[in-house]
Amino acid sequence: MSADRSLPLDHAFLRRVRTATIVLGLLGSLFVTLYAGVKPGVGWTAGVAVALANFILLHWILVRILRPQPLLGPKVYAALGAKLPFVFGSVFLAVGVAKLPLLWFSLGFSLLFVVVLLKALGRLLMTKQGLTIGDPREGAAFRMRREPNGPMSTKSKVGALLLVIGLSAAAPQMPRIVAHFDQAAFTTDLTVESVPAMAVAQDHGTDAQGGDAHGTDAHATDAHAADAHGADAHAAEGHGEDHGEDHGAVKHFPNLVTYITWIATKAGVSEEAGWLKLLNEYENVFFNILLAIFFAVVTSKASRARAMIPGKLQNTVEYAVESLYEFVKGILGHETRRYIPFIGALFFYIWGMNWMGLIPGFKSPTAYLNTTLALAGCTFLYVQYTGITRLGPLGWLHHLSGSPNDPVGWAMVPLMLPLEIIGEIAKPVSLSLRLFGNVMGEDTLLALFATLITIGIPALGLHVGVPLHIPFMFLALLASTIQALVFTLLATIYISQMLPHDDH
Amino acid sequence: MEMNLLGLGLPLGLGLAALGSGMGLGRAVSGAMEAMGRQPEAAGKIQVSMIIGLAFIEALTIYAFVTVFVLQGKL
Repeated sequence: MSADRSLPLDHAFLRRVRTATIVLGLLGSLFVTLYAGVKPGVGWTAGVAVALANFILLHWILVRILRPQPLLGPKVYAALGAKLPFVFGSVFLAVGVAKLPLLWFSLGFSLLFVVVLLKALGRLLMTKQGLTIGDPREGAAFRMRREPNGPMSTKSKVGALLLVIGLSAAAPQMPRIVAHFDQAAFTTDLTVESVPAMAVAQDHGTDAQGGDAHGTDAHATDAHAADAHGADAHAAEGHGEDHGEDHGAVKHFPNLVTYITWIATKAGVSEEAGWLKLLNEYENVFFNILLAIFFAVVTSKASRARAMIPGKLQNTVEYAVESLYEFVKGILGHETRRYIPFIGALFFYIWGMNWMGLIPGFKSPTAYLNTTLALAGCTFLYVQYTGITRLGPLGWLHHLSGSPNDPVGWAMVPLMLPLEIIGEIAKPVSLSLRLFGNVMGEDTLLALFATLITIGIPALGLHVGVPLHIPFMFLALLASTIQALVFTLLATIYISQMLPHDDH
Repeated sequence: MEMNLLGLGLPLGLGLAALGSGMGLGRAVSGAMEAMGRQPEAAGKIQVSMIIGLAFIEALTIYAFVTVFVLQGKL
């Protein structure tokens, strides 16, 4: 289309809106299903789908009408006529007949309009910055603010500050909002029976052995360990250390989530409050997200303004990436470039997660089986995907049957196929268990030795505790790195096994 | 009283696993070291395969360790 530059609603704009809505809608349905239950999820998805279908229809009609020579056939008139009945009919079907929750349906329906609004705002911003509408870098409109005329202007700084202040002013309302939804949502699906299960922490540095070990003190994370090990976490609340049999007595350092929970309960927030529950239950995810944000910031900062003579940050990141690249190249050879994004992400992510547990106030998400299982599951899927795409479906099956190439080999297929399949499934299990066991053992060891700090005080008549866990922290630094390396190395080897062996 | 047997068995089992795994690790590392001494130019490749082997051996102890944690609740 010969787009009028002053007209913000052109063909590309509509396509962008469509793509963004599809992506956001899918993400949203995932989250809504996870957090609010299946029915709201279906409602949301239906809302997004109806709005999208309507939008695509509109797009189709507009493309035909707004041409230099409009195509006005019976099809277009039929589409125009069908539009309103379609929308009303589908809303009626979804809400009236299928009884989907109206709130979630309308939220999903309005997603498209929110996207349109935000995209239009982004365009306005771009034209203000003197960029043409058709700029392929449109998605980066906010980032563009800095590039045309150097650093951010004072006006945008003030605007950003106001935005942050506004958001933080709204934040105290969030618990109430979440708690409101909580009534309906959290009690339905996908929650563990004994949800908060805030067991009492072994608060290192203070004497937690004493009589103050009760429900309101230092809520800790033992519940996760207890859940993961299938132990019953029911009696955890309000009981002290003396009921050790309830939560497996796996010790952890208190972390940020523990502190937040502690402060919040001191400040009078109920332990049943939705956001607290969410935070405690998805503690590992919280730390994962922190780490992901850290990596995103570091890598984008390091790769934004690349210089021939690198600065400190760029140099560090380049060194790390290059070393890993060379290391993987020893195994994958010329295929390295294709697989290094996955392998590199895996390595640095696991490494970061392992080291996180050594920073006071943080914990290693890898000390929790779900995290490592998810990582290993991703690896498994990626390896199988590699096999299917690189070897072809038949080649993949051939590989799974033990690559037979003589009559004896073919005769062995019924025996080899199940064996190989079991072997493939054993890979992620062993990967995840190895990482989980190592990191959890390490963290538990540190926490155990940290509790000995206080034990030494009365026994030896010391006035200051001896930080007995410090030597083990160096050991943990080393072991964490090795475990991250081992996980990555094995993933690399699994991938290399799935590649065509023509060069051997 | 029957619970105490588990208390005896868990550390003992873990110790046994660690013993076997330690012997295996020792053999693997000694072999790798000898190989590296004989062929220093192949040190990189030997090291990589050594680490993989170590990871597999060590995993056995880790399984015992995880089992201990699983059963610890019953102690």
